[in-house]
Amino acid sequence: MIPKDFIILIPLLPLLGFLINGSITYEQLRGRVCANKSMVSFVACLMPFLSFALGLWVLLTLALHPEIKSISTPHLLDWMILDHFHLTFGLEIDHLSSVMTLVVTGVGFLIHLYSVGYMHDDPHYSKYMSYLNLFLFFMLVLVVADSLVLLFVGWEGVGLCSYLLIGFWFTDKEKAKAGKKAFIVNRIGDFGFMIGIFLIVAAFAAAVPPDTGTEIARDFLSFSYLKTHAGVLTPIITAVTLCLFFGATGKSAQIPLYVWLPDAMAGPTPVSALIHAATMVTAGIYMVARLHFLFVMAPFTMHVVATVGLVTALLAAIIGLTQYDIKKVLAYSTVSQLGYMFLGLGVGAFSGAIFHVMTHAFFKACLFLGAGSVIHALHHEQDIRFMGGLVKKMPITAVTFLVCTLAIAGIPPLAGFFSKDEILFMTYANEHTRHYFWVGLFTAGVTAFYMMRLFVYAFTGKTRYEHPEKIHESPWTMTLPLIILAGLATVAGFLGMPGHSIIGGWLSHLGQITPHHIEGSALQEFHLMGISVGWAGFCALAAFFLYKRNLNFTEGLKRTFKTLYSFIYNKYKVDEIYDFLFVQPIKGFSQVFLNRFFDQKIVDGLMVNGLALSSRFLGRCLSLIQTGLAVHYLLFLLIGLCLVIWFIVNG
Amino acid sequence: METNIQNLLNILVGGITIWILCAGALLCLLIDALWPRKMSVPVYTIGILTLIVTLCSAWYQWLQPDLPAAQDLLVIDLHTLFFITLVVLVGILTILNALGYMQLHNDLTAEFCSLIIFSIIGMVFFFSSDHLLINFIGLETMSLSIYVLVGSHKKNFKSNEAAIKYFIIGGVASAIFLYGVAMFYGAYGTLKISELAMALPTQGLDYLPKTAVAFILTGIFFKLAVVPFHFWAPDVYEGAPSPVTGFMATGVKIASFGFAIRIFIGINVLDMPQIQNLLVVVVVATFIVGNLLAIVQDDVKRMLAYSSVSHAGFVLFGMLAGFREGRYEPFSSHTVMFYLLGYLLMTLGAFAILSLMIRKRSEATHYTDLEGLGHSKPLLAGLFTLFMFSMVGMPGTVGFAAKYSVISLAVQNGHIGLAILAVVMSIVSAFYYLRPSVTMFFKKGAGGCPVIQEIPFTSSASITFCAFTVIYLGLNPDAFIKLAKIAAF
Repeated sequence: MIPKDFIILIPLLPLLGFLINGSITYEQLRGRVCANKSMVSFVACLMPFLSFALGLWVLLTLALHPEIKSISTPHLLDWMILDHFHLTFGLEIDHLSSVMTLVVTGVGFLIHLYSVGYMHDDPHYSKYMSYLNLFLFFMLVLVVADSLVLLFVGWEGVGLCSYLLIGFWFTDKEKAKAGKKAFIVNRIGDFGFMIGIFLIVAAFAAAVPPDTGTEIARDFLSFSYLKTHAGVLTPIITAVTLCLFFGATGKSAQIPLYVWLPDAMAGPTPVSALIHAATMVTAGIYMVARLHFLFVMAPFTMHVVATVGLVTALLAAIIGLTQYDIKKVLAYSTVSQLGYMFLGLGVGAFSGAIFHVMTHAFFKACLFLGAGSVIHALHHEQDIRFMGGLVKKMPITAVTFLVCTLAIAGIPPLAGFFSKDEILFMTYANEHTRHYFWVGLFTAGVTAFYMMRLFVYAFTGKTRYEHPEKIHESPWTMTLPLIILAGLATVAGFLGMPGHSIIGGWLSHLGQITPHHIEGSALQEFHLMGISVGWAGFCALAAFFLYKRNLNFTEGLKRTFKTLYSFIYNKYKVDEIYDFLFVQPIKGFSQVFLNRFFDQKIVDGLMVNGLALSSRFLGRCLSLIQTGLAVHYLLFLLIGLCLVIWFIVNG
Repeated sequence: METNIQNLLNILVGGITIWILCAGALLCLLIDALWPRKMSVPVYTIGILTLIVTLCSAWYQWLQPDLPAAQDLLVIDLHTLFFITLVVLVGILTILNALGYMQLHNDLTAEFCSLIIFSIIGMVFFFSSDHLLINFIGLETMSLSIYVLVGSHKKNFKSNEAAIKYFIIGGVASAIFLYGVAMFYGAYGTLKISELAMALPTQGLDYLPKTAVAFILTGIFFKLAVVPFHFWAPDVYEGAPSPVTGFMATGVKIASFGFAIRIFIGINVLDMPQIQNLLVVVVVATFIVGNLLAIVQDDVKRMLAYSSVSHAGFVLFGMLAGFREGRYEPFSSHTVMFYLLGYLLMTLGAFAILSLMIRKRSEATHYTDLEGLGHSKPLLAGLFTLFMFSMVGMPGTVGFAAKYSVISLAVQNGHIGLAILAVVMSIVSAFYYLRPSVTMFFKKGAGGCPVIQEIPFTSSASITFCAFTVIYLGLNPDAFIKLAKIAAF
């Protein structure tokens, strides 16, 4: 049985959860009901779980029926019907989106469960849960959309939810600001995305002969149509893909728009795990993979994608070395890993990139949740200099954290090793980007180093927290997701065993540029694998022993390279540069010209008040003849009659 | 003999709407005469039922493949049926409003209902007859009923004053109209519009048909209350009970425009480009004077009176825009018809809310009376704001669609300057249309009891209907514009 009619439920169930919990929140705010927390938790967790089950069903259907390429609910809604342009909404799940659906709902469900414990004492618990459900709804719309515009709807929706959740504790001004920053930076990227869509529309509209219009289907923004008719876009393909990629850099925190993600850690930690590590930030990667048929047409864009990804991966990893805030370290590591994914996309390893999205979702979510567990236990202490020795107090958290640290460091047989290695191998396999491999390899070492540093700082040694007796392991709703995610991070890698990669076969429709033109590829792959494992292991061990012996062994280096260190610590001063280059000039222009001069003087002064005053004056004059005497009115009637006759007869 | 029977049948079947209306009105009168002042609610129910049945029969006729052959005196075509729908809708909403109003004022008079229906009968004759004399009789039937309705607040000084004022000036205007009719007869020896349309001007008497047109147009302009024939309107609108004001502001204007479209097509043959020039002057004057005077009012009802003046200007602008090369294009009347539909919905919605405003047993529609209403009755205040937004022409409301169709027609036919003026005046109108909302929401009341306390069921029914249709037609105007296009000649 093909679950055709149930696909729509996958996004709609979380929406239902949002509506239920949202209305409970609303009623609660008005003081009508007192929310029952268990009920709220039940609804909020049930919906993602049901979506997950449905997603699993779809995946199994696709797996058991190889002849079915995708399952769709065509034509849910007409949005805009014009002569040569139809905008219709429909959902479609193919192999790619089924993987993403499972990641989103599965990790989403676990993080919902985790939130039950983490946010339990928050006064706005039901609001938080409803936002989380709303996020899942939009993310699923993004994933299962069958057209570019519906994908954009989901894209904007997750941006909104990200804003709402980063600024969830909006009474803290800094946190509200972080939400605002994320939203604005994303809008800049979205602008590029929209330009890309407009370019596509323009190209297709120009391709339609105005009279016949039969050659181009009207719903040309649907992926299936775009894929088969991508040739229309050939002349402007580089511009289109660059614009789309610019949108992706906003959502997926790449250079130049990565600045919002570290600040986004102001939100509750489960939010950081779900939205700012596991799912939403991978939307850019998903979008590029979804539109891979456009990107492969533009080699220049592919090169840009790979370069941006590589540079982001390296620079973010270097910042990660210097940070002390546990969530900031993880945030930069997210930026860095997203860079890897773009590197993969850029070299044509689409399935590898999606594979890394999946494994990254597991171990990064687990790392964030582990960090959340620590923060929870330490009463919102986030500085790793004040942690230490947690391995004894919180064994489950520590073990799962270690597993995922090793996974992200690329130690076999954990998941990160396989996915990262595939990307690196594909980078090497592609002749144009062979030299990128060495940078990527170096970055992998840096990653291993700072992640191990984080682990050593936080979990080993003596407890530096001032109330060690208060530290306790988290409740089961928090540790269970940790265990499951760590387990997944351990085994998921085997889906992508080099040689007979299940995930590669599953996503073969993405048409990756297979490295068959490389001689002796299998042998070479094992060589490269050995190099990268050795290097990552070396870096991890180095970090472990160096920091284990003396946490402050870098103090000397810091003093020697003081300027460089503070430059890196302040994320290369990018915020300040943007502020100087863009924010301040725009602010000045708005304040001095638009506000003081144009708005206050011209619009308010001359137009609004001037018009109002002169209208009033004229009105008063006119109302003088409104005497209220019937005789006068009769006179005016006769005068009017004379005027009409004069006009008709002489006019 | 057979033709006679056929004729009789035609009259019976073709004029079924009028028969129903007459029967309903008489039944209302009869019941009230037999059980005086006891059966008010049943009488109103019968009135509403009558109008609903009329509406249904009009729609039934609309759906017939062949309408009854052209009658001598009454032309039942799609144009007529569309306008019957409009005025009957006005009637239903007015009766609903009036029922609420009268319950609040504790002054339930049953003859009100039959007067409304009689007035509607007059309107139907006014715009559906092909014979100018019948048109005139319709006009008078409509007007006489309204004179009485205006004065139906018998103990209220203002109401009486308004009735007398309206009666005197309206009588003169009717006389002017009749004089024009007579001159037509003098010029052509016939009063049938269809025959006038084919008649050639009698040699040497060229001034006579022109003067006749001038007189008839004056009569119409008076009923439309466009500048400079608007002086009576604010005084009468203010004095009349609110539901009656709503009825006058919508029903009378709709009927007059229905007639105006007929007569414009009829006198096309006279080939008078002067009519266009005249209309330009009247439209410009109406836009400016209507809007500017609305700004300086301190009373919502008076403001709405001037607003109805400027809306009449807008509809007249739509008529003007329908002229191409000196002749009125019958088809372009669909913009006017759609505008009138939207106008009646938003105006009657606003007047439904206005009818509820009562303080110390009399109407309270001064701006200061509205203070704090946004807090005590947020939904009602919000709906009033909706109607005002629609009058401004905000997108998403029917006002936008209506204004848009008029302005786009005008631009197509080359009236760019007037179109710009119309847009500017719409912006100016936001100034006074939003003032009630500002007062309701942002000014705290002085502490007195809110001006609206009780909302009778019938009023809420008509408000809901208007609000729903204002939004629905605003979002989805196409179907109804198509309907108006079918109904346009």
